[in-house]
Amino acid sequence: MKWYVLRRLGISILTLVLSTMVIFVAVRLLPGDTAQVMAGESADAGVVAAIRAEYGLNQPWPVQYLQWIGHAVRGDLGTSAGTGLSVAGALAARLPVTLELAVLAVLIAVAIALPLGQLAAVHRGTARDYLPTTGSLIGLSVPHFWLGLLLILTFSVNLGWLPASGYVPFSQSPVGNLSRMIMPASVLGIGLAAVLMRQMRSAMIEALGSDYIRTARAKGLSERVVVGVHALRNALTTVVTVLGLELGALISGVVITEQIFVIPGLGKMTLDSVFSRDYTGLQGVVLLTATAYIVINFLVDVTYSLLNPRIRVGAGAS
Amino acid sequence: MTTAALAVDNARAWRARRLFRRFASRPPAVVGLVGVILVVLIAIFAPLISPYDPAHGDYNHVFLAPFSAGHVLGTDDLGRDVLSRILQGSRSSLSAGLAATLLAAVVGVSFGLLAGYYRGPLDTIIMRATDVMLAFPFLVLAVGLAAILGPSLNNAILALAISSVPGYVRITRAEVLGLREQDYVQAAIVNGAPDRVILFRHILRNCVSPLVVQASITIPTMIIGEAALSFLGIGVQPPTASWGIMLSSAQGYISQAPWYALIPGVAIAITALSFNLLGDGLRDILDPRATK
Repeated sequence: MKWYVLRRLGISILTLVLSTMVIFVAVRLLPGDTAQVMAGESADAGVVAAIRAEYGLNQPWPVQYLQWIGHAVRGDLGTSAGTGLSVAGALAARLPVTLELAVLAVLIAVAIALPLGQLAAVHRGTARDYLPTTGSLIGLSVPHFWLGLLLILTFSVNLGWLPASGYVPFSQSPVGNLSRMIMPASVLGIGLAAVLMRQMRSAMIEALGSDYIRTARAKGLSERVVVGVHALRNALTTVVTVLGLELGALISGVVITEQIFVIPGLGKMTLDSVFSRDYTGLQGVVLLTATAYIVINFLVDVTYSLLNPRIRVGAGAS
Repeated sequence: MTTAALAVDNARAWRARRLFRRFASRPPAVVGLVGVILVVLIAIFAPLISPYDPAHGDYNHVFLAPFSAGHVLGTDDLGRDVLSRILQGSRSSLSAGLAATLLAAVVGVSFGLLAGYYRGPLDTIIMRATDVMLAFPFLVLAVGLAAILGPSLNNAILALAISSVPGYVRITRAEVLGLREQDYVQAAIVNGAPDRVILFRHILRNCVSPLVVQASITIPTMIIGEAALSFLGIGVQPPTASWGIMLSSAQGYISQAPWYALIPGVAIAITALSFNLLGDGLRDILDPRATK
């Protein structure tokens, strides 16, 4: 177990280092001269050169890379060319917004997928299986952003129940916050639920056919205890696995959902920084996303190996 | 033809017939197949069956409701015929879905074959590279590529393809690792067959089933992905019609012309659902683990 975690940790750190190199090179491939952008369109060559020297932009790439990493680990991600504010500060302000959205989405997904997946598995081959299964296939086929538009159309335009966009901090007004978060979180949650429900169903079917369930039944335990306690314990492993696998899709979903519902989170920052050519901001937000992805996947893998010791045996192969 | 070759041929024909029968006995899969064929035909013949020029606007007839005279699905904010634009949009969607899947499959399968067959340092390098690719979620990657290379359908396809390469690498590698230890492959190696022959004739041919299943999952994802990128303005560029662009312009008029926001979404959903149904059917008949 210790070796598995250490090995997995080593791989994660390596992936993180390689990812920072990719981000560094990609940002240098972006069109436009950073020093020129900072100095302004009409600045003369002397000013541009001075800025280049000040920010170390005339240094060789490896030196610039090490400087960037050196600053980044101390929490300094530079200043945004567009707003003149610190990128780290902007990230810190936006992170809680996106985290809230993601956590709500996961809760909604689990609330939908767990009971439906269980229902489908227990009543396999009947209408109570086909309906949720078909529903999840439709959920997989409907684009997030269209679902978002449909919700806005229904609940904001037609019924006038919920505000169509915007963000209010929870501390300021819990009702205002949730009434604005419920639609975007549902959009993300339904997409995730579609994947999770299918996985849950097959995991549950497998569990229901296994020896320990047969033993539980033979002991005379009620069906409710068998399904609800014994088989459901397996479901936890599935939720963790699917979250790891779907994390990338969730992050992509956040980018587009925040755009539709005008939520000032990390996803909107990603798009805004591209459209306003704020490359320092883009570099910062992509670095944070990649780091979060790697860290969460590491945690998922370790949790998974704790929940399911079999995986560690085969771990050497991957 | 020798008797042995004839027997192999017969066995193949028998296997194909059996697979076809199993496929045909699944109504959802057949519905999916019919849907896919329809969408492909629509994309091919779009210019012939479009009632209007999809780029032609008429400022006197903006936002005509569906079923108004001459415009079955109404007109958009510039007075263009929505049906014609939906038909033309199928081309962006399908070409993106198919091209991105093909590109991802070719690149991913190649690296997967190399990693699984040669193992060692090459395997390590390829697998770590896929880890890094996964750390950049598809939309983040697409946004970055659009920033570097400029927004276009081709760059959107490239981003979509890159994001699904890791899946193909992993699946192919896992298959190859298993197949490599099979007696017939070991025999071919001992007999001194060139790597090229072993990889393509003995190994790749036996990876086809999981790869077909993976492709059937990838295509609808790519179709939705293209729509998402075009929606955000970093995919297909106007005036070319794309379902994603139609949705993004519909968002601005959602209270004025709500039906305009419905139609392109239905088109995307039906197309993706057809591929998903077909994919589920293929998985049922091809993946031995799924048949229970």
